[in-house]
Amino acid sequence: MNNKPRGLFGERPPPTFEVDPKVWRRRTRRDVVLFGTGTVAALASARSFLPNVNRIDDEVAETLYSPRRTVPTYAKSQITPLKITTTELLPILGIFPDGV
Amino acid sequence: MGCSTTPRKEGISTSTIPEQPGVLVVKRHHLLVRWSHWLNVPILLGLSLSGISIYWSSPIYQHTPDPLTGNFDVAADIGIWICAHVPGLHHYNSPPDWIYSHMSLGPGMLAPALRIHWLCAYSFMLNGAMYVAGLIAGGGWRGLLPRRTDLPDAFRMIRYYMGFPLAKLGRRQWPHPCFNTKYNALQRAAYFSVPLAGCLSVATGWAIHKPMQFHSLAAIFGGFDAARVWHFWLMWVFILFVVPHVILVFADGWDTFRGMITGWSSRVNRSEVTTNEQ
Repeated sequence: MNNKPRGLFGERPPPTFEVDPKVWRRRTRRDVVLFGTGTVAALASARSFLPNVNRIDDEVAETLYSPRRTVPTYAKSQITPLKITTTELLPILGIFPDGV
Repeated sequence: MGCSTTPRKEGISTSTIPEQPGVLVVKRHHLLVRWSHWLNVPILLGLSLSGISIYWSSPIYQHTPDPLTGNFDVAADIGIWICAHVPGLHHYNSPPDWIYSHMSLGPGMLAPALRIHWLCAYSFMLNGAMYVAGLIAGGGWRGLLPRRTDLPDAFRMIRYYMGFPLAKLGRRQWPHPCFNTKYNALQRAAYFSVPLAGCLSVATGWAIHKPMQFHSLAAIFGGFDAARVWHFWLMWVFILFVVPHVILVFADGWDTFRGMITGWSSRVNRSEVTTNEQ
């Protein structure tokens, strides 16, 4: 990155600093310990956390529900009689309810 | 990163030199980029495992049923082949399920798999937004943009990687090509492609999940069934990215791994320091 930045898309040089080796080691240790602790805590809590949050898609669907949703809807005048009734369909599917 | 690293303090103007010798560090990754990077691990794992469980209920790749076993699933064929040829697996109790038993949430898990898949999918989208925010805030997006020199640079890197093992065996010097950019051409191609694959995964996922509402989206991918094929192979794009990514990070050393945790690296390119002085 020895070229000067060229326009909006030119890659900028990243900031460089000189730090005390002790400070550098301490910060690295702190961040790595935090990272490890966070990972272990996330793994430990996943089992209790999952059942509460895995209904998110239902909640999103309910939130987005609106009369103007993009699912096709029809006026009552557009509804036509079924071409085949349930009573006629079931024997075709091999289902014979009692009394039929 | 480029090929040369500086010993500490080299190239720093006298006004910045402290009295005690220090460690020269360079900022590599924004906090949001690091967070989104690590969150991708459980999210992509959850998406892949639950996705294969969903696939199990209705495999895309099928053939005419085997007259003896009735099997029609190509993944089951692969499982049967693995159990027949891999030592120690000859007595596996259900060879057709081997792939699914080892690469998914397990049998009879369709409903939980769907719920987990959607949870991970929403998390993936939010995480993607966080990644983009981190790229913008830290200016890292500029390092991912393709360049005109990428093709020859990519060939230089391929040549380097292909020759590296032979050079090691022959105990010969095999210098890393020099680049004055954050990433080399191959890294840039990979890091630029993966977010694109992520966008395509989301788009194909919505096309599959809401084929009525997003029928136009499904049509773009060639219909519902074709969108499933896209979605399936995009998962393999992630897997094929992650495996060499992890191997190369470990091969590159502690500094690269630490950089993604702390955000800072002590592997400073000479040109970065020189440019900062200007």
